[in-house]
Amino acid sequence: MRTGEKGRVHSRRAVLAAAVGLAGVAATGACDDPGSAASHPVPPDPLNPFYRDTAALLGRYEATIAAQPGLAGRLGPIRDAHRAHLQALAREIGPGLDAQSSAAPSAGASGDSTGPQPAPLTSLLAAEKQAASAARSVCLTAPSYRAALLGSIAAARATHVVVLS
Amino acid sequence: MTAERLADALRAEHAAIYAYGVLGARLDAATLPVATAAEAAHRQRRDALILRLNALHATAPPAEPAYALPAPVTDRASALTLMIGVEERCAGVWGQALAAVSGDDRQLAVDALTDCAVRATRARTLAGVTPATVPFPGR
Repeated sequence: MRTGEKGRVHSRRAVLAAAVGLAGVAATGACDDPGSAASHPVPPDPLNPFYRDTAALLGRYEATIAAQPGLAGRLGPIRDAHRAHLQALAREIGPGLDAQSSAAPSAGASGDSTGPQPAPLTSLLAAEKQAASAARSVCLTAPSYRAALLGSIAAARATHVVVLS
Repeated sequence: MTAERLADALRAEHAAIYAYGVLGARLDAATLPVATAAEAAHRQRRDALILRLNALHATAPPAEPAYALPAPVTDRASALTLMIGVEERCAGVWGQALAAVSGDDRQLAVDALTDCAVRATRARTLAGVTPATVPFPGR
């Protein structure tokens, strides 16, 4: 069973390596032929849904702090942690970050009425609990080279639950 | 690789158990139960690691008779500072183990890392350290 898992990890790595290689070729080729980049799209990274969920969680904190600045002292460090996680995930995903993910709404920037709405603390607490559990699951199934980052994010979210409780 | 990282984690758990023996004596009645529960959790991880290393036919490093502490523990404040440091150090060791283990061992590592991070946050809160959280526990 473990051998099988190892095999999957290796094959995914191989696919990733191939994807990065292709992207490199496409980027180099783009200088001579602008059309070639589009013909070698990087396949979507399996972390994209986790990235989007992280962006949505960050958006809820930004909206809540914007609506209730008095909560900035308590919620600010948590918001900052989610933002740092988002940046780390973007670096980890690299060229596999899909456009939909990178354009995830941010309440602070857009001011769009369809963006994230301010949430009561109980709702943020429930969201953190769910997010901590989700990060743990993603950590357990990710390739080993991503386990430390994802485990750290899971741990951070668990500490947010403590602070919000 | 797996056994080496788990042995590192066991050494850190031994050291944590020693530290709690020292710092518990300097805590007040309100804070002591937090440290007592933390020490019990570290003992549980230690026992799980010894079993796991035995199953891997790897050597489980024993506890040292004593450990050098980073600073003297003379009162509640210095006891809580040590508790924060111990949990951060354990989180770091478990975080390093994560990349080297898989399957049930990865579950052990991520849960241990999470528990260390949670205890560090509780200790920072008791010590009045703000913020009580860090963005990347164990990194």
